[in-house]
Amino acid sequence: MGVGTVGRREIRFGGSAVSVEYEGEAAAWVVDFLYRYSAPADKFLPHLTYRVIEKEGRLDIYCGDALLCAGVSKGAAADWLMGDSCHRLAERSRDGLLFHAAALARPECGLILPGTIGAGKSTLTAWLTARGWAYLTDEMVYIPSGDDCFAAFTRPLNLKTPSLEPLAELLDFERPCEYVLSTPQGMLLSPALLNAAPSAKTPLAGVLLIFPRYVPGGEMELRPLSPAQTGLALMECLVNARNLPDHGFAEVARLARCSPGYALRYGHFEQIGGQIDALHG
Amino acid sequence: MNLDGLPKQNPAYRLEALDGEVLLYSQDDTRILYCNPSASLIWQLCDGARTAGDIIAVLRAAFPDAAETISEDVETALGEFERLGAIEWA
Repeated sequence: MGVGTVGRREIRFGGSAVSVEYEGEAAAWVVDFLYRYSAPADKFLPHLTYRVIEKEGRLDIYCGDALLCAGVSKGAAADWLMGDSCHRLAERSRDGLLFHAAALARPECGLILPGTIGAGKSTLTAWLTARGWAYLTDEMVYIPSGDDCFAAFTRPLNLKTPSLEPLAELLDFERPCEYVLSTPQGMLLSPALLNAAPSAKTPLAGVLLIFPRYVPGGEMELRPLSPAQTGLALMECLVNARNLPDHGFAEVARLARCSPGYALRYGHFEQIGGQIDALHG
Repeated sequence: MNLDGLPKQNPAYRLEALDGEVLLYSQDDTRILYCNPSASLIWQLCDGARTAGDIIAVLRAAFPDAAETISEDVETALGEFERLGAIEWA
């Protein structure tokens, strides 16, 4: 997909929207790299606008008149903009449950991996794509109130440096830069590299909720959770509770009743093997 | 534990029953508490009319096989409810 070097893009997700204006080839490239796969959604007016301006090969990022990043590389700009825009989308998200979660899909089944920072969502997600799962997101999953489908914010997968080595045999980090972007903290992988299947909505039927916890050197455990335990774990990963009636509690309970939950603790991928695949029968 | 105290549910806590277990959620401060079936039962007996001792007696009569551990279970559950502000003592 070609993009002009001056333009504007609106990013909508979870009942919220932001926009990004860009000037310059590098700025246009970063914006397209980050948001090319984010699915169009309902019309919400952006509540803020970023500006990404290229100057002599380096990038400045503004929000309104405030200069937030000055003279940074493409990788640093992408890392910062991706993180901040997700945060800003989440803070205004409403009309449904927004979870800090990764998600993957296969025909007629899916996985949602809710987890807080450091739980190992992105690393596990990358590993699962190498096992044939289609990438949806490593960061945000949205379930509109009363709906039986979920939406995923499909963005580049964000791997921190310590995750790169265990995945090096499975994923090609040497691919051309249109698919891989180094950042100060690690690497961003384009969804194109991860069997991405962008879609506006994925049915919740056939979806498993797996709560990962990476424990270096630890024993593996894949333990079924009761609906109440699932609900408790979901509430801990709910990002937009303050914007929802009853803090989303009734909707979380509805999800916990209909989707089986599992707690996964692992120390390395070989322990997991095909056990997640086997849960789907 | 004061066996004569009257534990009473804090009305700010909302309950969702899920397959015999319960989640208690405080709408005031977003605290959440998971209750296994035993703790769920104890919570439902915190009506402000029964003392802690009454609750133990009710459960011992209902579950004689578990009579030895019920006192400790009730003390633990009430302590946790109190810590999270899910009950008040009348």
